[in-house]
Amino acid sequence: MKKRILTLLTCAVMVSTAFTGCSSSSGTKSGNQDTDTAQTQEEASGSAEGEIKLKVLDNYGSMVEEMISVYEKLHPEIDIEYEYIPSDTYYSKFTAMNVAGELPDVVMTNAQFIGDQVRSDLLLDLTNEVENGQNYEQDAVWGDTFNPTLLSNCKATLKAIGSEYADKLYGVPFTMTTVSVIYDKNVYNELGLSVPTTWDEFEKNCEAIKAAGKIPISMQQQNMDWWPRIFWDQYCRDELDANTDAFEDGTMTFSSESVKKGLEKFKYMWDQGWFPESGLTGNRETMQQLFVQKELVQVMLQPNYLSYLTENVPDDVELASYALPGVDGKPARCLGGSSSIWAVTNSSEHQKEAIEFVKFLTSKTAFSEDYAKFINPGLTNFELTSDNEAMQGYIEAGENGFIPDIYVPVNITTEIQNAFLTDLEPNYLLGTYDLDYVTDQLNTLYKDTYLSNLK
Amino acid sequence: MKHRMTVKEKKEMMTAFLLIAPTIIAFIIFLYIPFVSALQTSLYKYNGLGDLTDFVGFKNYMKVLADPRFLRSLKNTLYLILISFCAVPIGFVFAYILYIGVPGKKIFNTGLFIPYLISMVVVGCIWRIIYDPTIGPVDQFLNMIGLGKYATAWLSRPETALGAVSITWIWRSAPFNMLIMYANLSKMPEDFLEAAKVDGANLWQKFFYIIIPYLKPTFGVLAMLTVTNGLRLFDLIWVMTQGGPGGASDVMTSYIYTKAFTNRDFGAGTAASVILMLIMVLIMAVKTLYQKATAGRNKS
Repeated sequence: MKKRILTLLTCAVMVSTAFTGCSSSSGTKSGNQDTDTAQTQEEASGSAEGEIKLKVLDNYGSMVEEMISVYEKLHPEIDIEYEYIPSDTYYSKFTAMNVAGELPDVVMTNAQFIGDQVRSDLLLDLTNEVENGQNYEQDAVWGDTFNPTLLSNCKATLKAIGSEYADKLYGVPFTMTTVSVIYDKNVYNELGLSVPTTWDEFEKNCEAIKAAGKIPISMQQQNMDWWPRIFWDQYCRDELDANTDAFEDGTMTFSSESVKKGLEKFKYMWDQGWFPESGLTGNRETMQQLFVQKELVQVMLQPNYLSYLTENVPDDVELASYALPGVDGKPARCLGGSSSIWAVTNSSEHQKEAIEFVKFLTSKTAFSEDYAKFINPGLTNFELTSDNEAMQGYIEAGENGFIPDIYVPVNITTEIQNAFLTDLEPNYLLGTYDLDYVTDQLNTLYKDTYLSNLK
Repeated sequence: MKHRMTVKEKKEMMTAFLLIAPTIIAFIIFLYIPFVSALQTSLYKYNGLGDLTDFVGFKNYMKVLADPRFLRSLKNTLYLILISFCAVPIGFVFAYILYIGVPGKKIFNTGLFIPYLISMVVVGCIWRIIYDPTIGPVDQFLNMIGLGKYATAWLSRPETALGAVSITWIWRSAPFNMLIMYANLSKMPEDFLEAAKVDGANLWQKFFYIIIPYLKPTFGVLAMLTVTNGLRLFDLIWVMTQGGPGGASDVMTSYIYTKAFTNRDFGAGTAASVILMLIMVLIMAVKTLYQKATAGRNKS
């Protein structure tokens, strides 16, 4: 008898040990509905009486964490559970949370993901709140406080998933991401260079830097589409301004001369040795390290990554920035725009509070703090001033507006985007694929993964 | 005649069942249910969000098998496995050096084992810097000794990327092989070598007729681990090249990850992972059959 009891006890211990940590809030959902709801609400509401717990998933980083601590001080009744997840693992984390039925209340998303999230009915439609609701400070309509280009970019992103989503907003833009060129003024002085105001001057600078044994400008794997997109904005602008649906109606294809010209220009820069060779497999951090080590003279960067440079460059480096001139002489528009989007999930039990929190994140109150010194909030009621010379290029970069997120549609579907970034582009640069093969592949992918779904 | 179990035997059987039940339950929950779920997902077009609704049958399998990137990743995986067999003789050499004894043996042992103690992600980061064409010591060394013409962007050239990763992988796995073989060599009865010495065997004879046969089962285990670890390798590739440039160092696991989490094509991603699992099962089956055949030959 003793032996049997011992065996049973051993089994019980083994089972309980094996499943330790597997419990979740969903495990409490038993019994009658009322108890279940009350229990869930209690869990969601936090332990303190009247305290509301909001869960936030973010891939932006430390600035959001600082904003949260400010918000919690302003709203002691709100307790925010923050989770940061790097961009490259964002989707796997989001997917896992969705499968587990544990989506947070507020999520940071972007143009690449929001389509799938909306199509799967995971995000709350914020159109009415943005267009008619008041902003956080209650002194304007929320939507009026955003840079209009950012909002239209947000809407255009959803166009790809169907006409029923046209003019809808399932998220709001967070910051105006601008990309500009950071350089070291002292190296410029040593080499006798001046800030380029035309593309020819930019190329001459690159030649001089290369001749001095340094790497002229950055290019990293994860953003390998930046350069072609910058060139297409110049070469294809006339055609796409005249007909925004040129790719859909077949007026333009990836084999159009202007599209090819953009790719050829990119290849030309690669062949000149103006990019680091390690850019084909290296990431942004690799470029930042090369810049800090003074091997790379100019680095294309979003402002929220600037702090790494300011904290790590040697004392003799004097950072400054400039907006890249247009390759075809047209006013140079900037990459970026609404690349970060805040959204509220449909499953949130505190949607009202979640929306209020998002309003705060996109308010002048939130951006008035010191942590936002490297950020352009993209708000109409916030005047961006910076005495930091490294930020001047970012301010200039946004002045001519933004390249639409979906323009030459290499990013209209995930399949095209990934094929372009990880296969076609690097192999084109390496000479494995010729230009016609690349454009033919893009045409096929566009037809198979986008046009066929429209029909 | 059928044997009837006694009450004592039945109790013992019951106890045994109870003791293995937790493991079986854990296996069912964490292995078999996910596997069945993966099989199901592989038959749908699925982006990872929402419900499985778009049944496509075996289309995902056809798509994956027709994808040149999948075939390249399969080829690269096989290459990586074959090349990582180098870690076995390297490990053996170090194990033998330790076995025969060298001055500062303990420091030597610890020093050699360090690569295995470092996390794979950290290993990847370190070697990414080592291979960097601008600041990496490999190219700097080549330039210093007058072989600058061979300096290159090791991880960014399609012809060198996979080889460079393989070297890192060998560097990381050789210490483990060394440890296993050293542990086995240490257990080898001293009489074997002493008897050989008495019989006048030279170093090579001792080596080929005593040590190698003695370690044969260990080599078998290490070979199996080399294959399975090679098939599962992901983190090192991902940190060092992300399968690039242009898919030149893509292996099956990075292909699966890219399909599922970057392309958000979970159907095709799971189909590829089922194929990977079938390959693993096939390898295990061949190994088991080989072992059975060898055991049969030895008996007869």
